[in-house]
Amino acid sequence: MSQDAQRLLADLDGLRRSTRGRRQAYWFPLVLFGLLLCGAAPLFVRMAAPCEGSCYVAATGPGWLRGFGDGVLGVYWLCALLVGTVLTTLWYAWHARDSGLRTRVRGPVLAWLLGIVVLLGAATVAASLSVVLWPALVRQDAALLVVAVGLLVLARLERSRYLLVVAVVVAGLAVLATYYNPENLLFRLLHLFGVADASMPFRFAGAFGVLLPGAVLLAAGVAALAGDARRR
Amino acid sequence: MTSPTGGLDEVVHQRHRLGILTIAAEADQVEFTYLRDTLGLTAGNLNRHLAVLEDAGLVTVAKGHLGRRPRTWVSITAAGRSALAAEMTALRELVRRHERGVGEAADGA
Repeated sequence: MSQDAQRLLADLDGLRRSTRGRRQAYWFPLVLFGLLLCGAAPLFVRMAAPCEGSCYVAATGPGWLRGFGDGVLGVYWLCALLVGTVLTTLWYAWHARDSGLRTRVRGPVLAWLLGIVVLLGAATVAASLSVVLWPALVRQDAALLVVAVGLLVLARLERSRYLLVVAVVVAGLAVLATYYNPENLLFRLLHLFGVADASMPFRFAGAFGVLLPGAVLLAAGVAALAGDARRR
Repeated sequence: MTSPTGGLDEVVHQRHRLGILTIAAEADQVEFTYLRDTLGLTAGNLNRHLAVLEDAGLVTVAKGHLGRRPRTWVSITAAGRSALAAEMTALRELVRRHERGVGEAADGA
């Protein structure tokens, strides 16, 4: 009987692994948010000096989006988060119909929507709480934190160690980009390779903070898709 | 000493029902055809096993439609998860005792 039990345990373990592998579908939101983050990069290009106020390429837009960023950047982040949330929801619904295995994504969807509400609210309270909120909003990429939190919740629902590692890395890069100037790391690296100050890409360096997590998400998503394809 | 087979639940300890619970535990919902195809059961056979599990409160079965196509979704309940975990523990204990017995017999030989 115990040999039967051993065989049964092995069969059940195989069933569990194959079902989990078939159910997991996180390559899509990784690639999607990777593209959306990289898509923000051109908006971080600074105009040639001299410039007044915000020196990003297009700095006119509604004030109520200030929590996301100035002007076109604010509009872009709001649209990117909404598009990312909606397409991820639709993707998981389609994947459930196609595979016969459903993962409910209420958790990450709520996290993203709550993040949007917080950033919308930040514009109205920013004046009174400017000392507290300013560090998170000044670099106009707080949306990165919203993306990262949603992905951490998704990693829990997907029961994926791979996705958890990716989400933790992206969360770390998001905190770095939001509260620090990560382009300083790029300048130090270029300096190590002998690039002179006059040749530093100062105008384009602002994009580094969004390109780095975006590239990580894209690479991780493509790798996950390749892994899925190999399994099938 | 209690027999390790005493930990096995009659409702759960059936190969296909264990398979159903194992698959259902890996998703929020699993579709009927996925269970049928993965476990290699006929629709009638699968329905009988699902009825047993549903009567025992270990799964819930929700019927719906996708367009004109009927769809049946199966979810494991909290009781189902507990029963599956208990069954797996009992099976592992069975194997562990067998391996210990084999080891002791080899030492004595």
